[in-house]
Amino acid sequence: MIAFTAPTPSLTAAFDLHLQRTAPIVVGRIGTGGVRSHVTVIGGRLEGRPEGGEIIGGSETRLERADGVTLVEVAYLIRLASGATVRGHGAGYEEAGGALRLSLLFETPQEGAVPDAFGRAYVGEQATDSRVMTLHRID
Amino acid sequence: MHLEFALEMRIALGPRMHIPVAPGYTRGAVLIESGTFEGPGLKGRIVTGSGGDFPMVRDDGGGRFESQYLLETDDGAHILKRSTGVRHAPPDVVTALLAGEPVDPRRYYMRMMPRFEAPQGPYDWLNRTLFVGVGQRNPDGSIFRFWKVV
Repeated sequence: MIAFTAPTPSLTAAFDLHLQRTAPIVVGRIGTGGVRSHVTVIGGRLEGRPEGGEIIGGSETRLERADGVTLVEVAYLIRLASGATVRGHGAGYEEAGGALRLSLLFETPQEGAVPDAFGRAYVGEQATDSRVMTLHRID
Repeated sequence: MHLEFALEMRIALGPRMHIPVAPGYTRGAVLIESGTFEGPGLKGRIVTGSGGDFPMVRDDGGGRFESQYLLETDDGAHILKRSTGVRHAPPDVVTALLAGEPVDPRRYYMRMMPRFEAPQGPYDWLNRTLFVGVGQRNPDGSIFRFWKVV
């Protein structure tokens, strides 16, 4: 049997996303089950190294399932300090009364220099009583 | 927040097909021929023909993964696994991987974020758990390990 020799991953806090969100728009109970709602991201900022930026838009689409878990799909558009625009996108879960946790990747433009950090995979966590989502790089 | 080992998958892959979708971008299509998985409280096989890996690979060797296939536990439960991920590697590593040569997996960055749909019962914790995965590509297949984010 071939041995598994790939590295064991670790999480390193890399960025903070300060998100300004609208109140949710509730679509309602949908035919395939669960309650759908939508939150628009109207601004905010990305803080961290090697480069931060301004959040210029985005959305969080939520489906509160019958098992009490809410599936959250997100997309955030961020203008980096260098002027390049990147799109963070991902999905995760929020349990009733619990933190939001999601995985996130970035789409980056081919032209111009965007730090390699935006080509990595991330896990985001936001506590119930916080407006800040911390992105942990998956090393 | 920390990582806790959840399961390992060993997968045998069929021949790779290529779809040149745009200049510099190729969609790969690799169907899964067989496989097994095992972790604490979880063991079984991958359902043959239930899906595969469909990476979007750039000419520079970077790529995004998309995969979907079905798991069957030893006690008969079916679980749908969907995954996205990312890979970065130096050009010589990409060349070796595409040639089917063995490559030290520490020479590339390959991370996955799977989601599962399991029936209600002993495996429904998969439906509400975030996972992080690491991949190792071998000449005749892949080994994936997944950790729970807890």
